[in-house]
Amino acid sequence: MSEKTITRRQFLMYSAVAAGGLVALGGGAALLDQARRQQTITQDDIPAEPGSLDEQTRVTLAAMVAAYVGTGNGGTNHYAPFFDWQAVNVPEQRRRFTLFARTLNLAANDLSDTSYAAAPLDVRRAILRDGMGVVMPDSVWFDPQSATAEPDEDDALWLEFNRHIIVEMVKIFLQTNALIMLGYNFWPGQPAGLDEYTTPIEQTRGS
Amino acid sequence: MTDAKIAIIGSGIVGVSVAHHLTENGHAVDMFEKGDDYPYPHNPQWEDIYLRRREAVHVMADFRLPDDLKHHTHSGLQTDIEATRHMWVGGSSTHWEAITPRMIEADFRAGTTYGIGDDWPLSYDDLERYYGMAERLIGVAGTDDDNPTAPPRSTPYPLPPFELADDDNVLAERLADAGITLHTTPQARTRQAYDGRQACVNFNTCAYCPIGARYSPGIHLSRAIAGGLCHLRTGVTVRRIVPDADGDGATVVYRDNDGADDITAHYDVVVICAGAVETARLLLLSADERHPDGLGNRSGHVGRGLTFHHTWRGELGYDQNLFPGRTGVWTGQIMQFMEADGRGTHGAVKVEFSSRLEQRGVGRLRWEHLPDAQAVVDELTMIRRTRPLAMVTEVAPSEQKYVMLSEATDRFGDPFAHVHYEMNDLDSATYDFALSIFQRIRDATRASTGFLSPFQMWDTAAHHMGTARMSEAVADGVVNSFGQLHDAPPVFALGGSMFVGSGGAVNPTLTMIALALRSAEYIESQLL
Ligand SMILES: Cc1cc2nc3c(=O)[nH]c(=O)nc-3n(C[C@H](O)[C@H](O)[C@H](O)COP(=O)(O)OP(=O)(O)OC[C@H]3O[C@@H](n4cnc5c(N)ncnc54)[C@H](O)[C@@H]3O)c2cc1C
Ligand code: SF4
Repeated sequence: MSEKTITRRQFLMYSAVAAGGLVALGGGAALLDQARRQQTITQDDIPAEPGSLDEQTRVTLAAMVAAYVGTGNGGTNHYAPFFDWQAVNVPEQRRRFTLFARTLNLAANDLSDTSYAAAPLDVRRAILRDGMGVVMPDSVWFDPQSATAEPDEDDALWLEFNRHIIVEMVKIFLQTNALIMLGYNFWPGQPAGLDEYTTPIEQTRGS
Repeated sequence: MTDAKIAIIGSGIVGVSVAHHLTENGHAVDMFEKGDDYPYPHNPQWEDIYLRRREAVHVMADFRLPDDLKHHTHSGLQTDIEATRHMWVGGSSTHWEAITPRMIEADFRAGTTYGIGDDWPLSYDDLERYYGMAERLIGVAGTDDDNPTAPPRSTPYPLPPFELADDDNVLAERLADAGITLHTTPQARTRQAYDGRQACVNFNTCAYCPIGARYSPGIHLSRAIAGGLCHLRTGVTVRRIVPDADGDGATVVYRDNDGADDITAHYDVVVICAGAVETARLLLLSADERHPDGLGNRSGHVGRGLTFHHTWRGELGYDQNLFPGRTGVWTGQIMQFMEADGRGTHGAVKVEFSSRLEQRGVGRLRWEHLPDAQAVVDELTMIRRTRPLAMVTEVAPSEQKYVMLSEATDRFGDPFAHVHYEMNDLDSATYDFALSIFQRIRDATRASTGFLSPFQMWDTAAHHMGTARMSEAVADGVVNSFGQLHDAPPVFALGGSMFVGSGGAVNPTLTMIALALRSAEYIESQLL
């Protein structure tokens, strides 16, 4: 395992490169940061109580997962039931998902004049990576609360998203798509049939 | 209540086996279960975990009893046994792995043969027929053709075996060169459709089987209830058993978990199937003037013989991609070390070396890898090359391993169980032996990395035994070989509590069921 640590600034630079130059770095500050600072997100109309997600939030979340996982890799439809269930059953989650989607859309709008879902893949990834950078790099992944830095006001929002949305998405990824990316044919929960495990894996490919 | 003559305390696999046998033969039973209903097949839980992606601990918490009903205190114990004591309809084996080997003949004579604990008051031959009945009841898939250590059998396995995995075969060949046999695992999963259950289709989520292919007591319990002869009361705690002075029957004293008053019901026969820890607790709680030290405790043995199967877990890493874990069924086992020379100076060891996913690497990931999915995956390539294994070991009873009543009390004011457990020199020698086997397996399979957890880091494999042991002589134990209390014949205590020691290193539940079916036959022929 690589021992290299990446600072938040390096992170933003990687984001910039990944975004194909869409994100300019000026005086060490990322445009994404500026975009977040300069625009305000309407929150007043988001219902406080749990309930179903609106369509735009759903579409944005799906686009976010697809940006993270990539195409192929087993598909990403299995994340939606998780978001839906949490929105209805876990206090605060509908508000967070909605706010998160709006944040993604604002950033996309600023960078590519589109909704997040319609933005090019590299823009969607850049936005996500930038936001996920709002955790100190030495924090262990499943406990972003162990981040040592005091977040500024802008970062506080992403810290909340990371704690309550991104970590959960990554957990699902680890149990599912990550296994396909490692070369497995199925992840636990998919009926694979009993021939699957007795057959050499290379013989199962393409069949 | 009903006009049943038999009460069964506990709806786990042992209680359900007794209920199944008796109701099939026309006898009504009342069953008391402290926990609430728990669905099986596990569709609702499965959908929560695998469709809605709720964490299993949260899903389980929806059904779990509160701490003032389900708790124990302990000393000397480093491992959490509470997490492995499921108290709801079906008990712990609603989530068992369903590995079901028989004990070998020598395990019944471990005292005289190896000097480990005492002999059982019955032999393998006495139990052989009931092993067959138990295998047919729960639908065991297996073969002995590849297992030289398997004891003799008079009836075939009801289902063909689950084959070794592709990656097992690679390692089995290397092990064979070193004289070690990796063989298939007998298990209560449907290799083919069986007794109204669908065939396993390899969901690989066996703790939660959505189709009931992995046996769970819910299968026969629901049938017994539907047949009209089993009356199940859930959410009730049995607080005491009071045997009649004339020996004709016994009274069950219980309370609704939310109730304020005790309720009593009288039966000809009361069968305690509450798991080894709670069975000892209930016997001790049932102390009265006639049984001042607890029911069945004239010999002082209640709680005293507690054993677990100390289990050390490890992993082996290989240079080549093996892609382990493409199934949830159990594949490879190594049982030959249960009969090794030197047993007596150390305990028997059974190796569970199955093709399973080892996702330990996930816990080592750091946040900086996460923004990029591919970077995460690059960090996890060891999953393709790593195989977990477990060394399950024999344990002898000792003065430092016991269950007693705690100072802490439940919501009714009854003391919880207190578990005291200290490891000793034999346990340490058994660890050394297990480690030497681990090293042999590592070298034989040409693993490039490997570790086994240190001596202090063991778990119980969720196997709880020995707290109301069998004996021929009244002075040597709590129950006879039918589980009948020496000092209260209408009362039986069945399950792992009956074991004399740990029964070798073999997963115990098939033996518990075989003993329970033997007891049920006895109850029917002698007492009804
Ligand atoms: C994760 C896991 C994996 C396992 N895998 C295997 C395996 O592969 N092979 C194997 O052989 N074994 C395995 N086991 C062990 C196996 O599950 C147990 O041996 C078995 O469940 C014991 O059955 P039982 O009926 O004796 O007790 P339990 O399952 O403990 O059931 C006892 C029931 O009695 C109820 N009860 C207790 N006290 C009272 C009271 N006072 N009043 C009313 N009700 C009461 C409890 O609520 C409980 O439901 C596993 C266990 C776990 C947890
Ligand atoms: S692998 Fe078989 S037993 Fe396990 S969950 Fe799937 S169907 Fe059930």
